[in-house]
Amino acid sequence: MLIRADKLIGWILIVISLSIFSISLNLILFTDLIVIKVISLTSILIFSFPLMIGTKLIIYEPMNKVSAEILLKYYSSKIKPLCISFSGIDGAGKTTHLYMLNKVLKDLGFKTRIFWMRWPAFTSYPLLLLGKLLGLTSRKGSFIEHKYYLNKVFSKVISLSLIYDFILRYAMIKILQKLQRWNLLLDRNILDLVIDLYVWTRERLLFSPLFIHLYGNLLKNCTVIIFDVDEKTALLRKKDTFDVPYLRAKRKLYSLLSKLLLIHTIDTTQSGIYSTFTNVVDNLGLQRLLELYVLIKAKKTSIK
Amino acid sequence: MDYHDHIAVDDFVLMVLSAMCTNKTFSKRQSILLEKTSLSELGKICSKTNIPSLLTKLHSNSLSSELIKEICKNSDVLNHFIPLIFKDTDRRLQRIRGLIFVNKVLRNVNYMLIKDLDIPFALLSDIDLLLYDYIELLKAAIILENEGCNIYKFRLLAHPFKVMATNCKNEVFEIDLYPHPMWIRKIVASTDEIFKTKHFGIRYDIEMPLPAPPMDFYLIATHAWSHLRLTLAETLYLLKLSESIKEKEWFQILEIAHKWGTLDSIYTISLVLNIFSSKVYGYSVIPEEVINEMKKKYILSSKSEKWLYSIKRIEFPIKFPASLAVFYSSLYSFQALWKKDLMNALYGILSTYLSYTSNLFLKKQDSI
Repeated sequence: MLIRADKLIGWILIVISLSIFSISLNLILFTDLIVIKVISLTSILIFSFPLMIGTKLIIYEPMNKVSAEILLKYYSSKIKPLCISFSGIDGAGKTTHLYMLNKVLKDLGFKTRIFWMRWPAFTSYPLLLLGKLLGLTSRKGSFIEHKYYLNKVFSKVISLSLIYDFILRYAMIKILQKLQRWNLLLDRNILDLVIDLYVWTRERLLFSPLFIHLYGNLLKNCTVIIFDVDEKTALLRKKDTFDVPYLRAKRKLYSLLSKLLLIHTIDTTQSGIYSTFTNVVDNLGLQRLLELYVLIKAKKTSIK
Repeated sequence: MDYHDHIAVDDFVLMVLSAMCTNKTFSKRQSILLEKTSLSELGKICSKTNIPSLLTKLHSNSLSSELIKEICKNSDVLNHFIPLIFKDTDRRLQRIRGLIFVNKVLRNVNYMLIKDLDIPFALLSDIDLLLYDYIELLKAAIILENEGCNIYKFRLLAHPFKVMATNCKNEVFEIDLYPHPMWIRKIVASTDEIFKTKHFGIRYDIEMPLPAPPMDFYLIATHAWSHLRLTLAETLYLLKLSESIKEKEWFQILEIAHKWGTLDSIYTISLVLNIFSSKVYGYSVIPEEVINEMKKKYILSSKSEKWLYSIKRIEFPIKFPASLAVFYSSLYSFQALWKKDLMNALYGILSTYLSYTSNLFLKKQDSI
C-alpha cells in the first residue's frame, strides 16, 4: 500500500486547519463585532497546532519497507507508455511475437492492450455491402476474394473510406492510450491495410507521395517492425493463406513500404522463435526490459 | 571582489588544513598556512573542554572525528575521545565496504555514484546512486533484494521516487537509489545530460562510475543549496573540483544551470568558494569571466551579493538565509522554468518551502 492512514490524516488536518484559517481571517477582516474577531483569532491560534501536526505527519515517517515486486508495479506505471506495431504477411510470426512481448510486459507490471488493426471497417460497411451487391466480392474456397479493381470509382471510394476508418479507429485508440496509460501492442497497422487495399483495388493513389507521407505521420509515435518470411515457410506455418504468387506480391509491397518509410524488417524464415524474439526486442530498444524480466523470472524461480 | 575583504573565514581554517593534509595538490599551500597558525591557537582548539564542540562541528560539516588526531597531537587529551574516533573510522570503513559491494553486484546496471565527497576524512552517511531510468532502478532494486538487502520506498512528499536499500549482507551501510537528479522535488538536470559525462574513476581503490568534475560540481552545489546549507566537506570538495574544471566547462555548467533554473545556487556558492579560496589560498578558484557571465544571467544576483555584504565571517556549515535560498530562490526558479516546464517550476517552489519547513519542524540536527 502506497497510501497510508497517517498521510491521509495529515492531509485532512491541513485542509481543515487551512479552511478554518481562511474563514477566521475573513471574519477578522470583515466583521465589526469584537467578540467574533476574538473568537476568530483564538481559532487561528488553536488550529495552528493541527496544521503543524498535519504537516509533520506528511513530512515525517519517511519510508515503507517494500518488495521489488511492489516497486515494479509502482515504477512500471511511471514509464512512458509504449506503442509497438508489427506488420507483415500472414505466417511471418507477428501475432506470436506480439503475444510474447505482451507476456513480458505484463509480467513486468505494465498495463498492456493488444489491438488487431487489420480490419478497421466502421463507417465503410454500407460500401462493403454495395461491393457485394455489385458482385465485386466473391467466395473462393475458404477465402473471400475482393475484386474492387473491376470498378475504378468504387476502388477509389472504398480505399479512402477504409483509410478514413483506420484513422478514426487509430485516433480513438491513441486517445484511450493517453487517458489510460496503456502500452499499445498493435497487431498490424496502416501498412497492412494499404497493402490489402492495393491487392483488392490496384489503386495507384495508395502509393502516391502524399499518402506515403500520411502513413509515415500516422506511425510517427509508434515503433513499427515488418516481419518477413519466404512464401513456402509462410504457407507451412499458416494453412489458411492464399497461394505463393499472392504472398510474393505482398512481400514486394512490404519491401517497398519498408524502404519508403525506413522501417526495419526482420526475416523470420531461418531463425528460431527465441532468437527472433531477441532480435525483435533489440530492434525495439527494449533489451533492458528483457534483462529486467530475466532477473524477475530468476528471482521467482529461486523463491520456488 | 572588493566585498571579500571584510569577510573573515572562521578559524575553522585549521580543520580545513587538516582535511587537506593528505591531499598532495594542497600540500604546499597547507604548509604555508600551518606556519601562520600559532601554537597557542592550537592549544585552545585542542583543549579537553573544546574538543566536544569541535567534534560536533566536524560532524555537522560531514567530516570525521579522525581529523582531531591530525590537528591535536596531545595524546592525553585524545585518549578520552578514542571510542568516538573509532566509531567514525568504523563508519567510513562500512561505507567503503558498501562501495565494494555496489561495485560487485551492480555491474550490469547503468548507474553513477553521486554526491560522493572525495576528500580525506569526509564522513558520509550513505551511498547515493543515480540510475539511468526506472528500468535501471528496478534492476538495481531486484539485484539488491536478491543480495539480501531490505528495500524501502520513500513516501515523503519530498522524495517520492527515491528507493533505499539497507542491511545488505547484515552490513550497516545504506544505499540510496535515485531515478532522477531530483533534490527534494526539483529536478536539476536530465539524466541524459549527466550520463553523457559518465566515466570511471577511482574511489578508495575501487573503480566506480562517476560524473565528470563539472557535473559533479553542479550536482553537489545544487544539492547543498536545496538543503539550505553548505558543509566544509562540500566546500573542500567543490574547491578540489574547481581546480580541475576548465573555463569552457564552467560555461557548460552555467548553460545547464540556466536551463534548469539553478543559477542562484551556482552563483551564490561560487561567490562563497571564491571568498574562501582567496582567503585561504590567495586567489579565486572560479574565473572572473564565469562570475560575470552568471551575474548577467541570474537576475537576482544582487541579492546574493547583498547577503555576503551583510555577513562578517563565514562559519561552517554555511546556512543560507531563508530570504535568499527560499523566497528569492523560489521566485527565480519559477521565473526561469514556468515557460519550459510548468510542473518542474511548481515543484521548484514546493521544494524550497518543503526544505525550509522540514528544517523548522524536524529541527534538523547538525550532526549526521
